Amino acid sequence: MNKDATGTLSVVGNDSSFDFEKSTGKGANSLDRSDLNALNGADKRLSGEVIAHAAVESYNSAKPGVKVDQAHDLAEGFFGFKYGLFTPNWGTTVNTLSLNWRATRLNENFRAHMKLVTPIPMATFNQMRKEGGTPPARDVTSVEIVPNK
Amino acid sequence: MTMRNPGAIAFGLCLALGTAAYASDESFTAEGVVVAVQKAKDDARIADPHSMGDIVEVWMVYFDKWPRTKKPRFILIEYTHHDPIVRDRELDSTVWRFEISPAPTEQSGTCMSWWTQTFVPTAMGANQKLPPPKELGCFLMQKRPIALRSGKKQQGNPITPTTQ
Repeated sequence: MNKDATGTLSVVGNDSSFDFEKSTGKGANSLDRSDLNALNGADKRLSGEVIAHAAVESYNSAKPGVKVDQAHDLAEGFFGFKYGLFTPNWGTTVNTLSLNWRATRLNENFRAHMKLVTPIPMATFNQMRKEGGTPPARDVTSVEIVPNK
Repeated sequence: MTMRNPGAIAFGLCLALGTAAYASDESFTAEGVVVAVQKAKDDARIADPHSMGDIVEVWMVYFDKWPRTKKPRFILIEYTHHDPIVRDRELDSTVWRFEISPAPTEQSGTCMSWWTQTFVPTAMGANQKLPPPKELGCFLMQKRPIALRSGKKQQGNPITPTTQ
């Protein structure tokens, strides 16, 4: 058995700080079970793509001299995901966001609908829109497949 | 027949092959301004540093300096990255140096394959007639563009819709 590197995947029930999965450092990725359930509701292949992406990324990032960013790029080459722009709900307060994604290997587009843990004023969101920033904590509530153009 | 100058022949062959490669798929740099961004009106360009994916943005760019023959006035650039977002106000006011490569033939439609076909003008494109995006060449970019200087807004015809 080749033990040159070992990647570890951890599954958490629900973590509002990321969508689907994220790297938590060299050789370690975390998967959000609740978000994967939402993906399964649209197409069961999608959660498999996420887990495969996380596995490739964690394994490669565990190797000496390989940075997490480099491991991410490798994982993108096999089981890639691309995302677009955040769309807020209408109103003076932002409660929900949606985000378009593409699973590149499957060439499948999907839209994730998310609920903010703490709603924010639209003015705050607009400031973020102008100045950049980190998207607020949120949970994926549902996923729908979007037909390709 | 004898080969009188094999070095010169080899050099010439290298030049020819090099030119062909350059013309097909090598990256190059060009300078210009972003005149429109592919987005719906209410969409927000926000990069998620914890995301498992890379953000994709498509910009319509007007070029001042183009290193090749057949300089286009406008092109589309599909920018795929994991970096902080280039802010709206930077897009509104900056001349950039882009490192781009033409989309391979089999991916020539990728710039217009994303979730919206609508382009919203930046301040740089607000006073000019923008071309239909589907008619523009598609180029790919992974490196963040380099800000060169503050630019002047383009002068021209009033805004026209650019939705396909």
